[in-house]
Amino acid sequence: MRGTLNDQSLIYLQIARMLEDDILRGVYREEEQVPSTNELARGYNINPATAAKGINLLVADGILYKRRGIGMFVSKGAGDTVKQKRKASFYDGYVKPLVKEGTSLALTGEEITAMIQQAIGEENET
Amino acid sequence: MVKSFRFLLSYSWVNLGAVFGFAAIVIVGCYITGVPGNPNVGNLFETYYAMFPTMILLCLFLYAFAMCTNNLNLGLSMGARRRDFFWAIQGNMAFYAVVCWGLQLFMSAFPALANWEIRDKWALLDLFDGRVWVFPLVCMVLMVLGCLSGLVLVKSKILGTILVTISIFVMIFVSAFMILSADTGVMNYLVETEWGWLWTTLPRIMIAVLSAGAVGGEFLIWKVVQRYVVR
Amino acid sequence: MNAGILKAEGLCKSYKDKEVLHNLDLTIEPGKIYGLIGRNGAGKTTLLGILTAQNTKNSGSVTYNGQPVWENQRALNDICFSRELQATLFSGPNNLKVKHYLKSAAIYYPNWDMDYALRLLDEFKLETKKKISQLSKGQMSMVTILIALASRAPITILDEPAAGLDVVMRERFYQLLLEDFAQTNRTFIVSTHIIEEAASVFERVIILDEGRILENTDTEELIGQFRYVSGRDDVVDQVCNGLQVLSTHQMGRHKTVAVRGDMAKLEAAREADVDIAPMNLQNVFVSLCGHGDAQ
Repeated sequence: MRGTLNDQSLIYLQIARMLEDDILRGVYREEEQVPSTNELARGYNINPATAAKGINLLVADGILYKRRGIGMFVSKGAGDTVKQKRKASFYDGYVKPLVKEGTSLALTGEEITAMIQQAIGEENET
Repeated sequence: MVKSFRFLLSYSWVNLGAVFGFAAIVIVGCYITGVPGNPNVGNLFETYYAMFPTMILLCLFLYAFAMCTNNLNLGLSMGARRRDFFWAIQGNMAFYAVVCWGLQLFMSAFPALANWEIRDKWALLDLFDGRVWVFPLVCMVLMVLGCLSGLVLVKSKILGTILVTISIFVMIFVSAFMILSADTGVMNYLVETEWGWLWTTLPRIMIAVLSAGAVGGEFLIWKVVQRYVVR
Repeated sequence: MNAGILKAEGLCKSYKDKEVLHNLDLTIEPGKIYGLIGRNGAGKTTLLGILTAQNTKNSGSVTYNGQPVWENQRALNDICFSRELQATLFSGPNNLKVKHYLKSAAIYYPNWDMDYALRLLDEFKLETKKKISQLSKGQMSMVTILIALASRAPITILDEPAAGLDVVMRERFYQLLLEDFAQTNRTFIVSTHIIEEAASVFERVIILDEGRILENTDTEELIGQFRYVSGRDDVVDQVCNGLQVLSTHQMGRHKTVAVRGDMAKLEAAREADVDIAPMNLQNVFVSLCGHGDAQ
């Protein structure tokens, strides 16, 4: 189970990200319970405090909420919240590195844009 | 203190069992080899019976040595307090001394009770010519020496070896003295020499020296245990 | 589990003329898993020995709930220091049988859980009749772990518990440790050489280097302060201006440095044409304690 964690970013961020991915994929739907801190800790062989940090991050963003005595649940509209969050960091996380890489390879703006159009086309076909 | 005492006791009664077992083997061996009936039979079992007090002293020395090395280390590593362990050692040493005293009294009295033929050579068994209370004192001294030897050997091989050597000498000296004090022939001769006064007061000197040694040794044990570092 | 606070202040220890611990301050907060990492000879076992009153100190204080630990039964009752077992003890082989070792533990540790111990014995497939000198290195480690876990002591310290274990057993050990922690929330201090595997288990990490505590912080917070920056040497130098550089590796004009700095500065560095990679705990440790040994 540990294998799915890597050392490319802090563990609690990875935990948060994995839960977000699962919400987007419909693994956890709105008002459904997500694994508890202890379950996550056990599943990934990590310290419960680290798992808790990841969950708290999502609580702070309004993606999860706590039901006292029961556990953590997916908030209403969590899917949209995650998408919003990712949209906000899409530019810094994907677009800027893409442009940086492209320009370092001496590709022109038009060439990069053309490639993007092509990729969009391919994506629409699937 | 109770914890450490129980802990040490679990080894003590096993060790004592070994001593009792040894006694039983010696007695049975004597019977088998015809020792009781014939005062001239001299074999292994006869020797062991005669030397039994010394055997006890040797065993107690070794048991005390182990108490203050392996057992001490283990007890402290599991969170025993040093002062508690010190008193547990004392308690177990007293236990050993009392039980071995009883055993030796039995071994000394047994030949007569079982109608064995009397032997002069078994002088040791007279236990200092009737001063039977000296035996547990001697046991304590040997155990104190055993403890110290163990504690010191761990820190310094040289000092430790010296202590062990001293202990062996004490054992020999005490045994020799037990023989002398019982063998009235030699004693009478010695008393009549120039140094006669020495031989009559020697028992008292010996007891005083041994007691002082025991007390001094205990102080040292206390100090060393207080500063002991667990491995 | 109600553990108190174990605190060392101004701790100094010397062996003969050599100072081994220098004016050390350490506070162990209850309910956390601590990793104690340091090179061989850094003083880990000495420190742990002094914290548990099993070793003597030259100066400074070690207190538990404000009271000195030395000869303090209440403190000693709450602490379990499970050391590495040795096959030879003093002059001869360690002839103590496993079951006797366990019985002794049952006598001394007030919170000893015999059922738990038996379950672990079963799982580890340890034979109680065997003498410690007859056990393999891995089995000796398992006994160490068994004693530590079954002691149920509010503060449990393990010295190199994973040393003799193969990787599968090590994973199982971390699992057992976390399971126990989830149940009891007791304080654990684990001293280890095998850093990266155990990093995700430690909430806090204590780095001991040559008798001094370099760090005592939240593990992820510590890691977050470090990055590798690599690229062309002049660009790298420019980017790293104002950051603490811990180590440098250069091949021709390609330069890789390990840096430490606050998040904002490191984020700004992303703009430049350099590769920025995170460091894991092991990398962090080596860069802090490597001391310019073979890079």
